[in-house]
Amino acid sequence: MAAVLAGTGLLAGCAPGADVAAGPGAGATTVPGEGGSPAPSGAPAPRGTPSATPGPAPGAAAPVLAEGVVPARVDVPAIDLSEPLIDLGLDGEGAMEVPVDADDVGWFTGGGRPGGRGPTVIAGHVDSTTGPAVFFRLDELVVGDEVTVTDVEGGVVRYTVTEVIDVPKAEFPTARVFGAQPTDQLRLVTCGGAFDRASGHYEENRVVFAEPVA
Amino acid sequence: MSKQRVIRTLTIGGVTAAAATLLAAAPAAAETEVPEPSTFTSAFTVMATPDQVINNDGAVAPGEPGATGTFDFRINSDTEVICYDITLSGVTGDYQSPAKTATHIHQAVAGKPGPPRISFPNPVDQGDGTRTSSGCLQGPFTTGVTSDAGADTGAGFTLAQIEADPAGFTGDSHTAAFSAGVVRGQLTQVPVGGVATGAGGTAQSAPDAGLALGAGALGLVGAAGAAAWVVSRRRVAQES
Repeated sequence: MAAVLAGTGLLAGCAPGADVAAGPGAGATTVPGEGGSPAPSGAPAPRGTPSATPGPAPGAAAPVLAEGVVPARVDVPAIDLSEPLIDLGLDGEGAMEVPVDADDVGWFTGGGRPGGRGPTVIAGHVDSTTGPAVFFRLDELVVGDEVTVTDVEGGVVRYTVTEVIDVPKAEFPTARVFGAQPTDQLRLVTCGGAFDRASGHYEENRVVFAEPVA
Repeated sequence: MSKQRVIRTLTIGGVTAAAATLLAAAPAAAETEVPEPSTFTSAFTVMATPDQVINNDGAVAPGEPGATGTFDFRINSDTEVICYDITLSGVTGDYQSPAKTATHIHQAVAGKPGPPRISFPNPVDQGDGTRTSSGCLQGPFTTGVTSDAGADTGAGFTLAQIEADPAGFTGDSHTAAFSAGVVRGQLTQVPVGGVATGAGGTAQSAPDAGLALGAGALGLVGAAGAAAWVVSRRRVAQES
């Protein structure tokens, strides 16, 4: 599969740019925040839409894990995938940077790490402009399949797929995929749905959710 | 339920004085609740824990043991809208803060105190040990806290400041028992919108490669589901 794509590196849907957008500097902080105030005040108008709350939140607060270790490799036996990981950050528009090379799989360095708190998010292309890419077979994964992540220190964390979803990119569940969690989580992301010729983008993302093997 | 408790607290604390303080601090123009916008310019998340709480003197002042909080924010800095999904777990007791609510983004780096810039509706008990709060607010923002200079601490603040320096901001919530903060954590930026992990080479009606690349280079996005953030994603690809 990899040989098909060698040297292309031309992924219309993948155009990472510079890092975080610039902006005005933060102002000086001259005012104390909270704490010790003698004047308790109200907390008016409780509101909220519980259905929109991201992620499962256990009733009893789970212990918060420490930070994990930088991941180095992902293995998914069910689809014969075993790939080293490259670093991925943010592009100039605040979206996730994606691998330049269709053969590469990367992880979001601003998120969680295996063995630690929060989701480790791993992304790869489903295809290039010319053929299948490294995550072409991600759609074969089903609940119960195993994914292992090896970190740079040689540690191995085994995960089990718990859910697979296809979501329109316009409704991407940012908090569910990238949001902070006290526990160790894994996400695998690629493209899916219809391909829009005009934009050079797929309209959906496939997201595989996995949790450490108990 | 928690609202009733808060009212009781106010009454016990001296309703006249407290009410006068609130009225005096009430801003002329406060943020408004708005529907979720179709596009965002950035997203942030917070893992809030008790051990990160800092009091006004800059000393560690641990919050409620065992409590956690996750704060997920999506920002459109062009329209000054921030959407929030906040979940507190293991937090007990009434909220308490000199601000108009007790759940905030403060401008404060890790380990330091700082003024509140945005005041969010307090998370509400879901009956399962968690409290949640979700919605979207459009600035200009006010907190109800007055600075030494006499202005609301939200005055002049813009969401672009968070985008410029996420680590300079912290999310927290305050209760009567843990007035310095029940949990707290710094903002970290996460990707916004979908992930561009395909170029159509295996799509059923595979496009001409040249056409696809050209369209991408021009930033033309016609897909019904495509968000505006995609439009300007046309920079030359580069690895991190």
